[in-house]
Amino acid sequence: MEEKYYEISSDNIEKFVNNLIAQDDEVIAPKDKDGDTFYDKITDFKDADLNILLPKLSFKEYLLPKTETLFEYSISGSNINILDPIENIGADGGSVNSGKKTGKRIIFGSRPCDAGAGPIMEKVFNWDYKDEFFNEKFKNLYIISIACVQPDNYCFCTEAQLSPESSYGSDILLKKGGSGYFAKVITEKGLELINSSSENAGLFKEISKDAFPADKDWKAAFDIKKTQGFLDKNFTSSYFQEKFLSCIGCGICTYTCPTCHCFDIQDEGTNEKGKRIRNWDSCQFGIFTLHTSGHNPRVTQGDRYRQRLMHKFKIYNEKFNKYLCVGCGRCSRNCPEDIDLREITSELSLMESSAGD
Amino acid sequence: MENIYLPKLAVIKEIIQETPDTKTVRLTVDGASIDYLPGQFGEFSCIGEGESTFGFASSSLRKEFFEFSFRTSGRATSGINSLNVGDSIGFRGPYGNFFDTGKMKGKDIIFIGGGIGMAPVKSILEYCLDERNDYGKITVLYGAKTVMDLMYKKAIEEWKSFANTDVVITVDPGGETPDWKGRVGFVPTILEELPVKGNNAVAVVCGPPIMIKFVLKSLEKMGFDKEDIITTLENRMKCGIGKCGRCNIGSVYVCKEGPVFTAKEIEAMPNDF
Repeated sequence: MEEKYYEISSDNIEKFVNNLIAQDDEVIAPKDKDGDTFYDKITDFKDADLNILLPKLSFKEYLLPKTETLFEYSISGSNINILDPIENIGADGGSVNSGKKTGKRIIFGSRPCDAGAGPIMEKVFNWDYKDEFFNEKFKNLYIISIACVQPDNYCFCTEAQLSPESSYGSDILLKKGGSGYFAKVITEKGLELINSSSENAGLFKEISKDAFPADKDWKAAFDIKKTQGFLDKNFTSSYFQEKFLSCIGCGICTYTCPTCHCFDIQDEGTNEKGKRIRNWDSCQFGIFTLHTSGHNPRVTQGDRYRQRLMHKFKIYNEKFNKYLCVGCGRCSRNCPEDIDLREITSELSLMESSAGD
Repeated sequence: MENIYLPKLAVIKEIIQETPDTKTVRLTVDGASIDYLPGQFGEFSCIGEGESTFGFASSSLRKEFFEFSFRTSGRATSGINSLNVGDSIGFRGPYGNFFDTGKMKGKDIIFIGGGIGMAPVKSILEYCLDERNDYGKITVLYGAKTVMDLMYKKAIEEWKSFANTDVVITVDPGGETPDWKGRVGFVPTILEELPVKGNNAVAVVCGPPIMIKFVLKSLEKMGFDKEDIITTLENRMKCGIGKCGRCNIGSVYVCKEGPVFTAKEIEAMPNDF
């Protein structure tokens, strides 16, 4: 759709969010939890903590839950009964009686990096085979982002082809200014939220595109295409083995990553009843690729982090012409060894530049 | 809406105890085989214990059942190992690409299998034997660690009964028994001793990664063109459909673009398998 622009006061944004909560939609926002901030359900606008740069984790789990039931089974003798949950999958992640009227799940106060992760993951879940577990949740997820003013030293969204003010993946993008916020409505879903009641529609004042504040001139500190260029040619580089000697293989980079989507499938239950589930998995674990024979294609932590870099900045890009990274920096912020992805991608880019000279 | 992770239930028709720790299981869905091609694979599961990836081991031209072979090793295979005739196995598939039999027609073929890697070789071998007249001379080279580890003993006798078909069985040095009448030596070594030439011929290879790497070198020495050496790679997989993210070799997803590759395609891959 053609983008629409609005202005909304601080008081009215509070009313709008509280109306969305009252409409029995599930509203998720950055929320303080013992000093850290996480995306979590809010029951009032005042629950939302909008003063921090980034919640500790992204809202990936609302698209790809940490644990998700693929089917349930019951067994008696040679008789196996399989219960397919797919028709009951909704925004609530699969529970049959959510009590929700609309099935919508709204993220209020997403950051542009986190918003960008949804459409990036969506491609993986829909090339060839369609993963309706993901699709149903993605379809029901409405994202209202708030542009960042000042990224920190771990952030590199601009280099990752987004920006602190990017609207990619958002339904509505808010920017602070005027009497409260300016709003850019990008999708029909965004418009649906604004027009969800006449009262809500009345809170927004439509403005012209010119009246919407222009993006700052965000400049990339390095060229990510050159990072890919290095990865294209240097699979056997000693860089990977040396750089990741300090990596303890904890996998936190993948668990906190908004776009890491690799999963494991396991059966859980007794020999009478139970379920098959998928769980978040991590390419940083040796068992991830371990063959039954004992052979492992990726032996060292260097091999494994190289795979992570390859997947994000080469393999995914070759298939979908985008990077599997939104530059949020969580992998670096949360790394117990301070392995910094911004630094790594920048180094690889520079190494490629100097190799080309 | 389709649940792409939902297995069909396949009924066990027959179980062949191949070696102390390997079995071949014959399955039907609705009383018959399913549509698949040699080289493809499926996700087979003991419901409640877990799912594992196996290549088909049978000729897809035989319509009464389809089979796979497994070694009891972890939780999923221990579960499958505990099942009996009449029990059901969860099945998803077929997935992946397959052997280009059109390219093999009229040519001599050498089939090379190592250990349980013989399973997918058996599928394409028996497919070719089912249409024996379409192919030239067929040579089978199958190696196992020890005599006790040799699978497909009954099938091997069937292969030998075909005209213009040589079957060579070898065990690793030290794996022979006093009355062993087959060859002793690693697969690549025995291969180079065979009267097989690369002209108008195709080689089909599957086995442990280390065997594949040496066999590819031997075959090139014997004059096989890299495009005429076809192998099937098995990597750890969970979903089988390009989502779970672990079977890739460089940019190639084994589950989607493989598991069947030519030596030429493998040469272009990074050493990540």
